[in-house]
Amino acid sequence: MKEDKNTEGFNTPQNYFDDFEERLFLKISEDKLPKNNGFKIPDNYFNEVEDKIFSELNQTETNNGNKIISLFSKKTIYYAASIAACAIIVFSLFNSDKSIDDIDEILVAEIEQFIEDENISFDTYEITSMLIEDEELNLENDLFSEELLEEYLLETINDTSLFLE
Amino acid sequence: MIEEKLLVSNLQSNKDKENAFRILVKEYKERLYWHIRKIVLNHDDTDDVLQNTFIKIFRNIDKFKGDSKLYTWMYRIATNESITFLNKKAKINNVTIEEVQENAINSLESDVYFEGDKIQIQLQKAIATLPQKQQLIFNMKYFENHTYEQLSEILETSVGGLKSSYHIAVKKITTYLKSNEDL
Repeated sequence: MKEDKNTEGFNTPQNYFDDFEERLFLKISEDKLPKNNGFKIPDNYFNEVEDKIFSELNQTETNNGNKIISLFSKKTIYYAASIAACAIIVFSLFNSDKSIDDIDEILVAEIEQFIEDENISFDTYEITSMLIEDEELNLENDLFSEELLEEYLLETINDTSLFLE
Repeated sequence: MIEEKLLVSNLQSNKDKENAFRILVKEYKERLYWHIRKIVLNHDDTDDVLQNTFIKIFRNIDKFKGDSKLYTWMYRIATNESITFLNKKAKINNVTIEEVQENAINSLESDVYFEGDKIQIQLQKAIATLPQKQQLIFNMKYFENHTYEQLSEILETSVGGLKSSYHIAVKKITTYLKSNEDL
């Protein structure tokens, strides 16, 4: 092809002609797409949104400046509950007619109930270790006399083969 | 509009902050609205996200160090807020983000703030088939006329990468529209 005569002094960006086709075809593809996306906004929306933003900001800034402490926050409830609990204990201690023994009885009953409810459990090893530690405890003599043991076995064991032996 | 540097310094001063912020909102509310709307599609959701975006901008303006342009920084916040919004919506409804978009497109026909026709709904469906980043690139380039250089700053991606993503996006969209012409 003949060299163009009128290009002196003019230049093009680097690689301009290399990707020209690609850009051209992209443009053709783009032209087939809709020019707008059909979205609308309510009348006067952009004037109103400014007010919304500022009122929202003023509200949150005021809240940040003067901290509002909710009456029903968790912390408040905990404080109130602990004060109430202390008050009840003090009141019941000073106004109670019951003797210390009565209180002990109540406590023992409560502990028994607590264990019965299976809130606490010991396995066999734990129980034996506790019994061994208590040196004064004599199982044979104190708890199970020979008569008692015999009586218990006669009442509870039904296996006749044992008697035959 | 007043010079950006002055605006930023006013925004970061206690004395002029509110006035400067009013100028900022006036200048950018429409652009950011349309940017968000293309991501979340529904007007009411866009309104929520736009307000959250400006509140976040107001609260974090002291963290703006001027490494990028102010509008780039704001677009980044708006984009993050929009995507966070979609993710939250997906989590609340126990669905994927794609399903949230699909539901939003299906609601367009009955949306009083949508006056597009069938082809525009098809276009939204086609955009929704793209990966999230390609969707952003396509919307910002095709509808908002950002330059690749601006996009590169906002999306923190190289110009070359953006160009090829945009080409791929346009190709995918035209193919989708062609194959769904009769729908």
